[in-house]
Amino acid sequence: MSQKVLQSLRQRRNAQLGADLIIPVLAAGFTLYYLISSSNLVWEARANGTVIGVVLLALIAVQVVRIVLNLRNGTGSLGFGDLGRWTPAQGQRLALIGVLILFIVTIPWLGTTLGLFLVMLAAMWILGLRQPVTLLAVAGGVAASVFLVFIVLLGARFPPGPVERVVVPLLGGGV
Amino acid sequence: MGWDSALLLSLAVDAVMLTWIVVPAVLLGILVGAIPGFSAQNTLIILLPLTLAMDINMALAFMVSLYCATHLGGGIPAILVNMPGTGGAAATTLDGYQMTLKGKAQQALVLCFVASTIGGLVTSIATVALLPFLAQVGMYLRSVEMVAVMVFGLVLIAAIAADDPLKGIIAGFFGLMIGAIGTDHIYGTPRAAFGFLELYDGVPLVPALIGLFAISEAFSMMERSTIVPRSAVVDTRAHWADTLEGLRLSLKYWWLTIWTSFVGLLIGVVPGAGASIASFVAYQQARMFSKTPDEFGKGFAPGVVAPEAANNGVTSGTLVPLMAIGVPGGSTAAVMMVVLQYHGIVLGPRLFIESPEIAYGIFFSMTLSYIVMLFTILPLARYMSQVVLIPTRILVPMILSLTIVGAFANREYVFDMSLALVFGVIGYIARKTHYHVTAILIGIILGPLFEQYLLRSLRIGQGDLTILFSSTIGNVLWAFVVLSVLLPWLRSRQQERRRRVERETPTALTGDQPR
Repeated sequence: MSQKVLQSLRQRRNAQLGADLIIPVLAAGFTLYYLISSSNLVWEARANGTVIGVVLLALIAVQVVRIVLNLRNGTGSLGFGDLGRWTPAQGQRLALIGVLILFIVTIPWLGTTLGLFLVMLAAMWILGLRQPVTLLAVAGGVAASVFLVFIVLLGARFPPGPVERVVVPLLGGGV
Repeated sequence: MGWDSALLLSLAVDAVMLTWIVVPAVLLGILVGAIPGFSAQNTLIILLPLTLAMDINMALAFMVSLYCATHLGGGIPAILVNMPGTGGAAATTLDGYQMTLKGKAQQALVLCFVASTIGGLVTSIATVALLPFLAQVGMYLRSVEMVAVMVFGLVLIAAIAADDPLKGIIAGFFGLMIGAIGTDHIYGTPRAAFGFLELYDGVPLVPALIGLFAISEAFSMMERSTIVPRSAVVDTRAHWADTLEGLRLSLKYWWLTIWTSFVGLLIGVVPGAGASIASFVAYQQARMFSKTPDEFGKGFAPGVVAPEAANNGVTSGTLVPLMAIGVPGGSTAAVMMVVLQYHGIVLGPRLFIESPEIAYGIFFSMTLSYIVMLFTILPLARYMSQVVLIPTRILVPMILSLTIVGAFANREYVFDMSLALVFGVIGYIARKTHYHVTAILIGIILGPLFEQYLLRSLRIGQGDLTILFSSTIGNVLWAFVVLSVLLPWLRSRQQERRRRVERETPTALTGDQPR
């Protein structure tokens, strides 16, 4: 058997169909929540969600049947492929999500400029950047640019923190 | 709307007055287009706070110029490193990279730049002339037909954009379902808002857009140290003789440039078809009508001209359905739709009556940006390839932090930052599992509009769903919906059958059984 055919067979047998179910499961869960939570509303309020929801559930059913048939034919497994595998990049991704959550939670106290500076530092550190000069220059540059362009020049009302409260009044603006 | 020369003249003057914003947008667009995996919509999302803070005409000029320039920029790494900067430049690699291998990189770049700018220029001027007719077509579409138009657009985007049509359609309907969150239009009762007051107005588009595109792209980008391996960059030194030869070849193939740019315009008008499809169709067309079809794929100039003219022809085309019927023709048009909606512009046929300066102004800005491009790109070409070497450990944190802040800027809710992150995770999973994020986003955008037209139709039909099949135009569109679902499915079944035959043939010959 040729190398190409063997490779194609191996790929088909290794298809990770469990990952293909994540979006349909999310969609079906949300649709059921929508249909149940709106069941006691007047028909005008329910009509749109019901029409879309019924079509979506039917499409998901077709996808599930297709996956079940593939599993029966032995052309895939219920594995999650790259999404379920623990790799350094996966760890970094989760750490970045954690840092972003922390940034969102603390932004009312830290303010946009300081928050951005810290989140940039942390994110670059997580991704393996270790040179202090580069870390400080890039993080400082990004935070300073956002502060100058958006907060000072364009007057965008980003959450203020210590930097905004001290520097903006000095530049003649108000927070 | 009829031709009003005073309006057209004032729009032309307005466009020229915006040159100062067009020039940096063009330069940024070329830069962005040269970064594979980084697209116009991602840049627009990152710069969304800036765009929202601008005056509407300025914002549109900026967005349109950046959008057009990315299509040109995408050809640079496609030619130099065999890596398309945008999907629309994928076909350019076929002959562009072969020209580079033959030491004709500079010629290929010049061909790419001239074809792109001429293609974009011709089609943007043609679109200005065609828009009044297109707008009138939009007038014939009532609620019932609009429901069919939206489903057709969504299914088409899903079926064409995704590798697996079923996955694409599921993604599109998932988006529509998310778009149904919020209070209903008649009684104001909240539906599926998870108890969050911030979702009573529906899912805000900016955080959804940021999450699905920029954050998920940044998560994917982390798997590489630089966007393009340093070893892949070819040393390209500019020689004026090569530039002149490129210009001579561009003149030689002027008819091909015009013809394939119109192929791009036509394909761009179809929602969801986009630059990738247009450039491959144009490449095929050029080869089919060529006297020397065997030369294609070996570093043949028309192989660069055709896809580049077509993918820039698409830029005008994708804006047509957005302007005429309020359905974005692609993901960048979807970003523009967000900005237009933020500024209170109502898209659709009435746009040409209520805000003609917006409808036509976009195409005037586009024409100006192509003129600017023609004069700025040639001397800059040789430096562009270096952009692909920016380390992702700097690029990813910048994208993440700036886009999260961008999510806040629209409504000034910290909640929207969390929403962007949630959509980022959904987008990343969707990318990894090939459920198309564009289809989800288009669904979210169309969700509220779909509800509006569906309810209007149902009220006319007193709750009877068969009203949706009561108009001729609507029924033709429903037939197209069925065809756009069935044809890709039949095609994939056919391919599957062909693969099965191929698999079984060597087995029969060797007697080897698959385990």
